[in-house]
Amino acid sequence: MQDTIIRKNVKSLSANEKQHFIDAVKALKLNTKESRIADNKYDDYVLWHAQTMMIAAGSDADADMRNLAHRGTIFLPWHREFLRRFELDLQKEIPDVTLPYWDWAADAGLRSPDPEIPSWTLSPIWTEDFMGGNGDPNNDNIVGNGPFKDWITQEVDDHGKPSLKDRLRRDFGNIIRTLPTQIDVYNAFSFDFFDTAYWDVFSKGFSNALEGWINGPQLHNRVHVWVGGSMLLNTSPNDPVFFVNHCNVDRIWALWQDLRFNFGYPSDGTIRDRNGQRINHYNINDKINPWQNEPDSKTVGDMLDYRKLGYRYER
Amino acid sequence: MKSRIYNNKEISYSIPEDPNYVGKIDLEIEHKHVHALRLIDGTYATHFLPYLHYDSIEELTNEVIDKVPFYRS
Repeated sequence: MQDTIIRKNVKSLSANEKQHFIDAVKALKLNTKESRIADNKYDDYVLWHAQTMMIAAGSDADADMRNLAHRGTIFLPWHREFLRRFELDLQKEIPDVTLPYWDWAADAGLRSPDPEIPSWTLSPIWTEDFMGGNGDPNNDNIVGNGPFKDWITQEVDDHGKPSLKDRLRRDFGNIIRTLPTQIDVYNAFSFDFFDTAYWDVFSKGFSNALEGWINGPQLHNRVHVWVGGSMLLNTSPNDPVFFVNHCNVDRIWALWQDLRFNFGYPSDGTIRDRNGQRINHYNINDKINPWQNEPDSKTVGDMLDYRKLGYRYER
Repeated sequence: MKSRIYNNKEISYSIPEDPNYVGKIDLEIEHKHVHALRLIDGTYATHFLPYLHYDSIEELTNEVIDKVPFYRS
């Protein structure tokens, strides 16, 4: 039985814990010997994310309708597995590291007393010792401060293959002015069912609300859009803030599961497309793509009970 | 194919005339293919900018040129 780890709120992290997280992330970026599909282990996650997003799910679907990681019922289980793998890789670099979460709904309520100072400067994550701050509007929104000021991103072409390298960019609140609020989170909790046919961006349910397509962009999607820059793209894991955002998304899902006293995932074989075809990699007993052929591959069902995966969230 | 210029980039695209069309759009920027789709609600999406839908193919294309490194360069 593995020990249970606690994923903390970023604001609870000690200076040491912040530094360990940053060091582990940077170590993955420097680890070129154990990478699988990219130049380094960190960029493996960038490519897995972008490439999985380009694979259509269902016979009725283009990848932009419903794909193997997003825009459908698989969104939350896929990202729980993505975070689990990333956290295990961080721990291979620095054993005591765990993923922290960014409670962005709390940040939505921050108010700067000085109108000249943006409210995000009060947030616990956009600090010199953690994620750094906004991109420089006078330098193409390139992030020029904090631990990731020299961070090089891996971009992709139209087939998801590695293309050019770029710089980390952020453009807070430019496309959409505000982060999701606690009321937005409560609105998602009003759904007492996980998802409904046809299991895509137009369906009703908690999953699609939390992904952010209902009256969107909301919740998860809205955070990507608010941060802007590198976080707007299919290569969004290029920005390490991706992982603290998704850790919060996973925490909200865990809270919903605890509240509903069940896992709420549709039974095996019920997730079918408009043609009546079973949607592969979406049903509860299906393996999660793209790790389905690996020795430690997991099914969608394996992702439902977060306690069995060995972690809890700080309350 | 329709074509236009935005930020010194040549854009060409073709959308079926059926107003209820749902599916892939032929779209190129500087002769490089761009994956784009018209959705059932009449909005447009691309997997390069996966967290938003766009009201028109022009709006989507401009954002790709402004934001996506593969097409900005």
